[in-house]
Amino acid sequence: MKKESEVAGHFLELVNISKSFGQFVALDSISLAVEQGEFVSILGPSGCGKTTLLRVIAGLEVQNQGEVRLAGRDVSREPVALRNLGIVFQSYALFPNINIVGNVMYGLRKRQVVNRRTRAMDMLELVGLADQAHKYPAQLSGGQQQRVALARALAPSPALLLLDEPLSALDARVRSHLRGEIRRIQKQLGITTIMVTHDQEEALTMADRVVVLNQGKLMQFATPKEMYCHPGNVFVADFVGSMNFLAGCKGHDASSISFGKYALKTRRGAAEPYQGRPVTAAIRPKDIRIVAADRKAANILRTRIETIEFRGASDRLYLQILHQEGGHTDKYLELDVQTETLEGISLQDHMELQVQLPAEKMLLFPSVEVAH
Amino acid sequence: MPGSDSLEGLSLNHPSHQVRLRTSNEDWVRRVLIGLGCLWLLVGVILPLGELLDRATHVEFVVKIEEPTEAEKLTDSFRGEIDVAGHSIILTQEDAGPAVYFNNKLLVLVGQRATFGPVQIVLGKQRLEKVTYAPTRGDYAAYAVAPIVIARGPGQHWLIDGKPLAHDVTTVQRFIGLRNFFNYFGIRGLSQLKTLGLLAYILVTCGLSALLMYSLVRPVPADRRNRLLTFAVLVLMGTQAVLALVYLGNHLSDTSLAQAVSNSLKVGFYSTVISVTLAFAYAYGIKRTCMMGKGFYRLVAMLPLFAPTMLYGLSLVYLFGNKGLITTGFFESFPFLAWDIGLYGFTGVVIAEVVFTFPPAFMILLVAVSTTDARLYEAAESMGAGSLKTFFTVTLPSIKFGLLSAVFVTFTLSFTDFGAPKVVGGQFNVLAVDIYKQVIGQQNFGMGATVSIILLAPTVLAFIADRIVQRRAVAVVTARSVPYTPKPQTLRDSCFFILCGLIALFILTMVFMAGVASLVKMWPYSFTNPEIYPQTWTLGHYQFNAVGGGGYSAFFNSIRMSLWTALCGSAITFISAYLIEKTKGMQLLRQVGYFLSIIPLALPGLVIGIAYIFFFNAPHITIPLIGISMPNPFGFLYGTMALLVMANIIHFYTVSFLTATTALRQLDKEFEAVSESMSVPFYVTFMRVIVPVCFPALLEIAAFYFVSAMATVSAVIFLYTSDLPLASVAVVNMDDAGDTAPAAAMCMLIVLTNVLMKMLFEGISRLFRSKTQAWRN
Repeated sequence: MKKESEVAGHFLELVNISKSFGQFVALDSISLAVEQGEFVSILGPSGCGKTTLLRVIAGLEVQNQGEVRLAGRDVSREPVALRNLGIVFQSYALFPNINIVGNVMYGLRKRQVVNRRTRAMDMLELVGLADQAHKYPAQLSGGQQQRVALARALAPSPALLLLDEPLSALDARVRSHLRGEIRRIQKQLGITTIMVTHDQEEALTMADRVVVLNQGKLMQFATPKEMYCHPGNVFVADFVGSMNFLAGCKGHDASSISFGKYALKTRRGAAEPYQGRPVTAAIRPKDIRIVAADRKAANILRTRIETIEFRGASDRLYLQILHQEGGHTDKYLELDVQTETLEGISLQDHMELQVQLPAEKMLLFPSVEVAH
Repeated sequence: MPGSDSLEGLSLNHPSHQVRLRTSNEDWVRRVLIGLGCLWLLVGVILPLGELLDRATHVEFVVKIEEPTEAEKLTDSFRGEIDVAGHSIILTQEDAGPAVYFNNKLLVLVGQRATFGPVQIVLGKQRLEKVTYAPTRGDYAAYAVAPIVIARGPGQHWLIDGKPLAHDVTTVQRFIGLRNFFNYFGIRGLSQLKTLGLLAYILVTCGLSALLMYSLVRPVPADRRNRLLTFAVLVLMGTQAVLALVYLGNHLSDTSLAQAVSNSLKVGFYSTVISVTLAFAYAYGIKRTCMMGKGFYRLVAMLPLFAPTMLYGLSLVYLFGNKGLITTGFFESFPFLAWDIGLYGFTGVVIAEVVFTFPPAFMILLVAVSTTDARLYEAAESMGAGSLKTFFTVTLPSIKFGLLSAVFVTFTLSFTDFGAPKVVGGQFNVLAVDIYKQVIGQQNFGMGATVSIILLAPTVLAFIADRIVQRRAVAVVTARSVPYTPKPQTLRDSCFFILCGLIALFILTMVFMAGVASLVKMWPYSFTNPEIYPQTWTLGHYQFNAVGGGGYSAFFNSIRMSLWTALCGSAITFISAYLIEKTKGMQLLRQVGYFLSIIPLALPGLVIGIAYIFFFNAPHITIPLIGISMPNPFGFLYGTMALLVMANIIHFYTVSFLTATTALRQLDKEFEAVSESMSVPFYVTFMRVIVPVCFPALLEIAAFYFVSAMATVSAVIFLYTSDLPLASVAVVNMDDAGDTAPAAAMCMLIVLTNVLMKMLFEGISRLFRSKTQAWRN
């Protein structure tokens, strides 16, 4: 068994996991490999199967097909109790009639841990709640309860920590604080952690690597940066961060495509596979540049401002693209500009504006319907 | 995970997992426990019901054989006796030769044979050789069954129908199909097959006629219209239906028995309409108006839960009976107020049932009325809808499921109640009393079983209808709903105050009238003839001297029984509700458990009682469908306190089970998953977390069991024994014997005990809540 783990080399491995509830396919042949000590987020829209995936890893739900391997051991058929993992649920599920330290002690057995209370207090110390040990869960705030749940899950020293939307019930300020806390504790203990979330900011800031699921299918498994800069497909591009799509473009040559009468340059060789074929171009709102009306350069589009939305540090412009020769198209762009850079220029609704789509920032995807 | 763990209803399509979790020891414990729960309900509900059905479709003949020993033959002339179906056949050896007596009448012997009435006798040498009994006119005439042959087999052992006897006294069963049912409704001169065929035919022709009638009035495009053909077929079908009905009518004779069916239906219908209407007004008054005294009104509405239904009968007797307070115009003090409502019969039964069914109807409707979204009313008001329109478009739709539920519950309760009709029914025969008469009065168990099944049919229908309705009920109240808060309106508030006040006053009168009367030395003479009976008030009736029923020993037995019921009932109910609700997987087992737990709701107490006598008294039980017979392993329970407790737990099982399920559903769904992930066994979590958190609900269940067991008469009236008299049964017996005042006194004892007990439970619950304030929010 040990040999096997050395060969596989991964701490947690999912092989072709499929799960359906009646006609509904929740997970469609998902394979992943997670390294020891890694923090992995599972991200996706609601109903995409992310919680089901977590519950399959935990053994709370049984996959129809596939294998779950933990530390090289096939645990597909093991019940939860034998998988040696800690779970924090969305509702925390703290026992209301047992005080905090009792809750943390709950999973510690006399045989295994010599001094259960000391261990529990250590865990509470770790999450910074040692002074609340004798209160009951109902007397704590949501954020504190969340930390108790974390301490309770960690107390029996599990090999794997599973977090099911741990922060979704909290308000924004507490959430961002706890994000750091959880990450700190995870790093300190070096415990492999899987977290389910529907909040992309949470996923991208906390995780070493992110899994994106959609309709039970694995969309991409990559580091947050890669996910953002090189989304593997239209869904990830759209789901992670905001993105403009220009559907209906056509590949021209190896490094340019045409959009209506506009010719758009791309990174060298990026348009190679799409020559003469329909393609969807994509660009992030923050990457579009405003250029002076008289400037002549590549990749410049004529647009008209629909509305300007104030967003604090930046403004977002909603632009309608105009034809080169005048008259508007049915395509729109969103554009983010820093508020201070706008101070010089006075932008108004319905004003015409020239924007540039930098070639190196443009992404190309096979043309499919973009969900909008 | 849509619908993956839904338990409502029985669905058998189990998803085929390719991967299954290894079954841990803990899983086995759960599986065995749920299995035990199912077994307990099987023994408590399904097998007795099977036995009941068995009795209703079989006729039983008792055969008893007695023979002298060789030594006795030397000194005595007795040579043998065979009793069959209540007839006795005796052979003696007189000086003149053998003499055969049939029911103590000497028969003429033709050779070695004698024939008389239903029996044929063959004699051997100084002994009976063979007796054949064929039921004839006037003697189980209604049952055309094969003759019973009692004959000696090889080795001189007696055989009945070729099978050896187990004992000297045996019962022989003959299948008679639905004959009992047809007899009950007075269908005569038709074979069973013919009757069934006829009934099916009537159903089909009537159904088809209705369909054709509908197709005649239904709007149809002109080119597809063929009214002439439809009409022709309709005439044909209609004629057939009428002819079939007439044919059946020719074979129908009016039986007083069948009258009980329509009487019961009438009682059920009227009580339901009145009770639900009043309860709705009362609940509406409490939730939707600003009248005074809501807390008091609430308490009063719950009061009838604590009393046996005989109490309302007795109170009515003291009010409207022949010597009643109002019938005699307050003992002729106010003759112009004298009012005889003709209590005994339909009127009295309906009044008593309305009081009896008021609390459940009120509770259901109170919940329904209080779960309405105020925003709908604001919307209706803003659109200028009048109050009547608002009532029909907003109020009624939002409470319709509650209303239907209340209707079903009220109907079932009033249709099957035994206590009140027993006291004030008089000549007015209802099904429940009829069962009692068949079983206790005539010892006709077969007919008793038949009537029980007839009693069961509408309640089962109501139960199924309720299930269907409740499944369609969706949550009307969402998290964003705003609770309705009434604004004061003087006219409306005072109207409801008066209405609810009258209802509350009536309930109080019905509960306490008998109590007051039980303190009167000689009703009504202590008032009308004070010169002869100088002492008016006395506690003498509370001594239960010189009356039957068992007095205080019955009372204390009842308390013991109720305590055991509360203790065992709440434990069993809660544990099985926990296992069924909170176990993962084991879908099929849990669904079977859930289904079995819901069934008792459809069973009236009398049916449970009679099924229990049959099942637990039977020397052998036959497993249905397989037909394997074995000695009854549960027979030892018969006549014990345990059986009474068991009958009570089953009788009130479903309500308690649903209360427990509701309490458990309010817990965090992940408690089990969390403790499992920490490898803590489920029973530890159950004891350390689930029970403490649900303790108030547990107390409520225990109180419900206690109060119900104390007050019920229907489930226990067939099961008590003279060693184990019970208070509620004593009420029936004392009332039967004409000791109305002690009966009323016993009722009051039951009510007081229940009120005290409820207060005790409430007190414990409060204490517990205040002690655990720290963790309750």
